[in-house]
Amino acid sequence: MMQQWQPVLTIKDLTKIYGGGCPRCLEVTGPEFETNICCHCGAVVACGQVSFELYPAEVLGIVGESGSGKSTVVRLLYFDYDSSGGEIYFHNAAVSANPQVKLPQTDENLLTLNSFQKRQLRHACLGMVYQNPHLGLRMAVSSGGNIAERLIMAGCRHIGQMRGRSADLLAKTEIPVQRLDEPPRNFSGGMRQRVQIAKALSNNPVILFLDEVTTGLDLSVQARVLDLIRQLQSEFHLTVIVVSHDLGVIRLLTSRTMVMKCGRVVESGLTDQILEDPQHPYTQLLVSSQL
Amino acid sequence: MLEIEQLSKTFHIHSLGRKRIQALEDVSFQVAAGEFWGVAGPSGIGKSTLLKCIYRTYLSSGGRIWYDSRRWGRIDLARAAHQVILEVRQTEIGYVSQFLQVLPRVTALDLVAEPLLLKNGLSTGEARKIAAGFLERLQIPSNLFEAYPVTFSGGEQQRLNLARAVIWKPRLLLLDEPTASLDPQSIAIVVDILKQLKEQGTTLIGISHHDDLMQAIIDRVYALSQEN
Repeated sequence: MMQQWQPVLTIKDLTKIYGGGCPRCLEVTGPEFETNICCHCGAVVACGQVSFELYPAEVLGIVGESGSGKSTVVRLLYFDYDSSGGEIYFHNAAVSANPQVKLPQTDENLLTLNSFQKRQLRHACLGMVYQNPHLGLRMAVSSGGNIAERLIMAGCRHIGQMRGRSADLLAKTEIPVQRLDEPPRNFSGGMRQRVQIAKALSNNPVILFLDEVTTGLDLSVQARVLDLIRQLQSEFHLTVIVVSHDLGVIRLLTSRTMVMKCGRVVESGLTDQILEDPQHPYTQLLVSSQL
Repeated sequence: MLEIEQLSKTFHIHSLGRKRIQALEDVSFQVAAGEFWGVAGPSGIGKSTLLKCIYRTYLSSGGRIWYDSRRWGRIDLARAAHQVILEVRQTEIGYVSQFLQVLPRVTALDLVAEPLLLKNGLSTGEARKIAAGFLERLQIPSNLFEAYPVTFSGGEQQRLNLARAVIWKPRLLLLDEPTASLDPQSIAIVVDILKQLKEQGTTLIGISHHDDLMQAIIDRVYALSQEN
């Protein structure tokens, strides 16, 4: 039971700067300056000195206005971008289902891994659902093919198994199995999002990143996707990071929340506390602006 | 079991020039295991604030809330780590809010069965069976079991909310006006359920009103007044 307290991911001072950057970038940006553009060199601090711990089977929310760096944080964690600084430690060495994949040591900073190791870790342990399905799916390849791509990356080579697994996952995400061979470009936005979820779950990830997964979906589909995520989370004990600017989504899905503004974390705490007793001026504004 | 020492809570509203609102000041009382405490006082005096401070939905501004946890020993709920609070909420402390806030597309039966699955580790079938029995006892019509709670009346939603908190038999239960929009008959059922829960050893703290049927099972009352 005590191992529950060992975080699965520890993030220290994660920083991403677009542009050259100068030594004073981090000093002159942030919520107190109301900007994330460095006044000395013009570089944009997309996220600066973000530190937090992620515990097993928890759902962590990240909220904030657009451009506050929410997506940057999860995309750095998914190794989509190279970071400008910081450390990430992955503590769950016991999770490797695939003996071919060598997971990093717990004291090894993930940001120093080479691209091959990062890719291996991503395919063995991480899952991502992008806000824009075009980033996560190949629109012209069949849905089954999209899911199989990840399975191949994770080491599966048996086409029957891959098809079976794809069909299972599509059924789980409430997409008719008959449409397994249809490409996502034929699907509606909500269905594309669910194919993405199926794809992200195909390798049994330890950590799942959901980047604005319900934004742009109509309300009934949104409710269905939320319900699905909640079910899958409790069924597979997934650790999830939910990025959203919809406070309703955050309230219903997450247990802890971080609030970001101008690339920095301004407040973090239990979700109900953040929403009902916000301390930071920006969080108060955000919560009081909710419809 | 619960010892509140000089608890105070001040809200700072930044958009109004850091306006201070003193909601609680110097609240102290001790709750022994198995007791049912009522919190009384006029509207706006801070009754809900007190319960929310205990549940850590609000961050206390001062004072301590000592709780004898089964697993963690004596902890200060006002300052304990997030993970400890989440674990205690998962296994020991329940909270009945004034309003039902749940995922929109989950049926009433699944909502009530959910805590049993998560906290008591029962199988889906067993949990649904117990949940159905419980909903029946709360006189929720059986044709609503598979309906979505958004479509329920206010009273039905509130009973559902109570069912979700009571079904897993928490060690400490905080009740934020659980009978506010119920008719006398439903209140009698709720009171009966709380009475049974108390007999099984749960400690309760609830917001009560003088004319309330709950008075019958409340052991002691903490009256909030302007001074605190």
